[in-house]
Amino acid sequence: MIATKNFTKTFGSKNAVENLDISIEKGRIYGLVGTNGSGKSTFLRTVCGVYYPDGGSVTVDGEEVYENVAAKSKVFFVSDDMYFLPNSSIESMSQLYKGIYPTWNQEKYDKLTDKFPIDKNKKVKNFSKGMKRQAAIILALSCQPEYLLLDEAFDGLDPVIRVAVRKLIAEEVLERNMTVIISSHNLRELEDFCDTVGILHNGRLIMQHTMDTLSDRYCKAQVVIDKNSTVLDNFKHEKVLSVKKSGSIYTVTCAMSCDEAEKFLGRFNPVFMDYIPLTLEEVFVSEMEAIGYDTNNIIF
Amino acid sequence: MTPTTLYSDKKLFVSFYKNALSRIRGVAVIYGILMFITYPMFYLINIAEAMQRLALGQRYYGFEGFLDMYTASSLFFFAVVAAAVVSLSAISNSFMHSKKAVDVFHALPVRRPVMLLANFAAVSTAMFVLEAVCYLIVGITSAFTIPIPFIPLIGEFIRVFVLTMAIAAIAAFCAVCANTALDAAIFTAAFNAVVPCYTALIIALLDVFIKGFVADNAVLQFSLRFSPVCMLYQTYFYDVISYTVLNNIIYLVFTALVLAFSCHIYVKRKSERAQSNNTSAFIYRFIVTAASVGGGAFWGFVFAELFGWGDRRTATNVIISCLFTAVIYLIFNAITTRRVNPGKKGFVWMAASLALTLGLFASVTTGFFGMETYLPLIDEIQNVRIYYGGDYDNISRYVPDENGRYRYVRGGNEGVVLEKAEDIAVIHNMHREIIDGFTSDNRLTETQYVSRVRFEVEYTLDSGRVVKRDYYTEVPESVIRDFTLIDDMESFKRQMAPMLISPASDLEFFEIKDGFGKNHMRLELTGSEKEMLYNAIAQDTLNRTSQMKKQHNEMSLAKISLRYKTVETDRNGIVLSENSASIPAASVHYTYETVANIEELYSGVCFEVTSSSINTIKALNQLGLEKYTTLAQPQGIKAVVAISGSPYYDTRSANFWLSAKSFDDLGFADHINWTENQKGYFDPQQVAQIADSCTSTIYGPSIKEREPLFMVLFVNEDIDLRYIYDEQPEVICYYMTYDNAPQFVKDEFAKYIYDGGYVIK
Repeated sequence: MIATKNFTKTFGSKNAVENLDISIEKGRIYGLVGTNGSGKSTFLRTVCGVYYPDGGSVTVDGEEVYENVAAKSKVFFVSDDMYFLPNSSIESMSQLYKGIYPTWNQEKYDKLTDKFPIDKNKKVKNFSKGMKRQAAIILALSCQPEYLLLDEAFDGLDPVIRVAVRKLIAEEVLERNMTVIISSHNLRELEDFCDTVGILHNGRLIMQHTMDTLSDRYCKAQVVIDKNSTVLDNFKHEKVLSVKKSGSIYTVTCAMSCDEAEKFLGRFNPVFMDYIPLTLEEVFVSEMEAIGYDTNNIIF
Repeated sequence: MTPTTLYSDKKLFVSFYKNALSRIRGVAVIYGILMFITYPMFYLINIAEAMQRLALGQRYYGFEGFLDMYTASSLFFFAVVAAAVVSLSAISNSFMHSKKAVDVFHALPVRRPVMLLANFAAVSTAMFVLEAVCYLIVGITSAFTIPIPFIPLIGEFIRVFVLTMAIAAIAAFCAVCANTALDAAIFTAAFNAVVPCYTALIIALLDVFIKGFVADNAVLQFSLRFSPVCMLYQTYFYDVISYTVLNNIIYLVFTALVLAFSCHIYVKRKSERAQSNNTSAFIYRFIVTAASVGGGAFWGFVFAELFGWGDRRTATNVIISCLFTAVIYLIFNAITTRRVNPGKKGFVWMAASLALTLGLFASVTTGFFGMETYLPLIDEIQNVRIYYGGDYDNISRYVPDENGRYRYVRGGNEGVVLEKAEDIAVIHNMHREIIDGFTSDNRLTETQYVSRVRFEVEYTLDSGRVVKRDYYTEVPESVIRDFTLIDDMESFKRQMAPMLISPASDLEFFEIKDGFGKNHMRLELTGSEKEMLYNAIAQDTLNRTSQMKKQHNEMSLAKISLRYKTVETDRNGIVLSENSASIPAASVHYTYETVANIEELYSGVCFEVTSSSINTIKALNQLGLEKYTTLAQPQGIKAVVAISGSPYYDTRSANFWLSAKSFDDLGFADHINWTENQKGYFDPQQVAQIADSCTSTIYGPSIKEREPLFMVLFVNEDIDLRYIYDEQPEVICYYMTYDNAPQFVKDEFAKYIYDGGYVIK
């Protein structure tokens, strides 16, 4: 299990992450979403031991990660900004990882390099962004980590490879109970792939739910109310994330189940009420709007 | 769940080490080629040339440095070695300075110290291989041609490799401290340069501005030890004795400590610093401050030297120095921070730099806070050590060290200890005269200064305190005269004169040359005869005083060379005969030969036999060598070709009255600066007067520094006639003392001397 307790990371005078408490169970595919600069990459870098936490603790299976070979051996981090050794090929990079990760699986490596449409002996510097991403994923999966940290992992991959990679990761999760943390802005993708999602903003965890419970906890309803009523203000409620009016139709997004929403909206005697499927992106945007991070504050 | 098998640090080290090796391999090969070109290749060329010359029976001096194992291009070899180790370290540690790379490397399950040490090991391995190849080529070549002793060659290789590792350790430390590769390179250069540069600056300040503190090369040599890059050149410049095995151990310990400290810092280092310009770190401030203070002070003192000191000028110099300090600070700060505005903290550090610069100026303007003019009370002085060679300054001494090898000492380099009250008083008085010469109240005028001399003295006080001063300054004539008092001191002679130190048994043989330079022979003497002559010379050395020399106006009757046993060896440590065609000893400073039962060895020891050498003349007469104890005036002078007159040892060119039609045709023009005589030939009367005044073909012991001496060149033939037939006449050289010289010569000489700005009584 990956767990942070009061984890704080500071860059200069800015807190990138502040008192963060997260626990991620084994075997999960955890989607980490958040606004720009919310601390996603900082969180991932600290979990893999690149950063030292300035406050609190970051543990992998109960062990502090920083300078801990045992803990770090379980983790593999694929950075958003991929790096390969100068003039290296996938093959030469594999030599490095083979000598360092005790869980390196040569058979898997051979299989993956055969399957993926890239040349393992070709210099990585000549690869496209997507091919580099494939190379990084091949190496990561060959290391067979218990915890795979992916920062914008699917960025640059074509749709076919994207599906293949997702399938491969899912297989690893099923076969080896691998835990995956994916940081991405592509919420649609995470929605289909992750079983748990957490939203970070300004270094704090805004929410964390499994995808199953997400629909039980969030509801989006379209209601039509008598046009003479000034109900907009009356919708104010701590669990109402956003209200949008279009003619006489109100679209209300709230952090409550549909039953709770029906009870709450029923007080306004709606002429018409219907529920619309809520996407992760809508949850995210609504949560952000609720804390004042919405387009109205950004676009003039 | 922990992986079933965790790799040990050792295995991880090996993996990372292999990876680091593969990263630096390409660049290492390029440096290897450069190293080969700058050393073994030129060595092979030199050897080929040497072999050709040896085949022709010529001695060859085309090699340099320790054991003659380097060539002129080896200067570049050491530079390439330094550049290679810095570059390879920079490449192996470059991931620390890239955000992208840090994400990969610092996420690996390898402890940071293991990574750092693996990188260091990889760089060291690459350098070891490259250096081993170079020295192996030289070793193999020498084995089949002109041999170099095997063990010292290995020692030299080890020395270079140990220093290489020290440089690599510094580079690793700088890589850990710096945020970018450029900063790491700047810091590495700075750490190798800061101590030698500051020492050079302080030496310059002492030499130029503060009297009594001549910081000699020993100080610089010491400071260079703080820079392994500079130390690479140690053996190239012959200084081998001071580089011992202990130095290797010290540098190895230094390397280990630097690496340990680097590992400690690396663990604490924040990954996010990669590529950032966070200059609040001490190391950044230190480098910027060191550069600005050093640079500001340097330029300030350059201006001070150009425009001098004085109330207003001193203020101007200080302002200029502060301006330079500030400007250099801002420039370096901009380089390291990549921004122009130094910020609040930057201005605080700049103020500190200015304060340090002002401190340096204060130390100079106050004469090093009064130490420049400090003179201990005479009653407190227990003894004085004076570093002065006098008549024995040109004698080389070889003093055995504890290893049975011989240490080279030149003249009075090791000093003479004086304990008698009257001797101490002489030195103390000289010291006071020197201080009086430059203190403001009694400052000598320019014309009162007669010479610039070195006066190095060390007082041991009753309290046990040692006061050492070293002046290299203009002094009045009285100080010059006082030096002759030192020459006459018995304790000085007994510590300096080889014939009063070494027994006759250390002597190999005598050579003797008469005053005309005509008769020259090696004396074949029995043991008792040798001892008799040796003791006579020793006694006369003890008896001879400056006063006697003056009274007798002494010139040489003969010159006796005392040939002590020598230890000149070839590169195998085998003693060479004088006419050996082999390559000469690696250097006279170093030898492997142990000569038993000899306390000190000397070379260049001569004794001038003069009329006051009563004991020596008596001994020579007893040995049937009367012809060496008398001297006749030159006979049959037809014409005086030229007269050279100048204060002896003076650096200014001599002046001449030339009688030959064209003296250049005689082939002497290349050796001495001659001037045309406007007068034409000396008339026969003048020639006769000159002939009567000449006394010896060897200048005598009475001729001291700055005393006028004339060298007379004459012929016994008609030079015009010879000139016509294009045959050069034999030119004979005689010496003529100032006191002996005819008045017309003195008059002409005085004009020159006056024009030259000298004061001659």
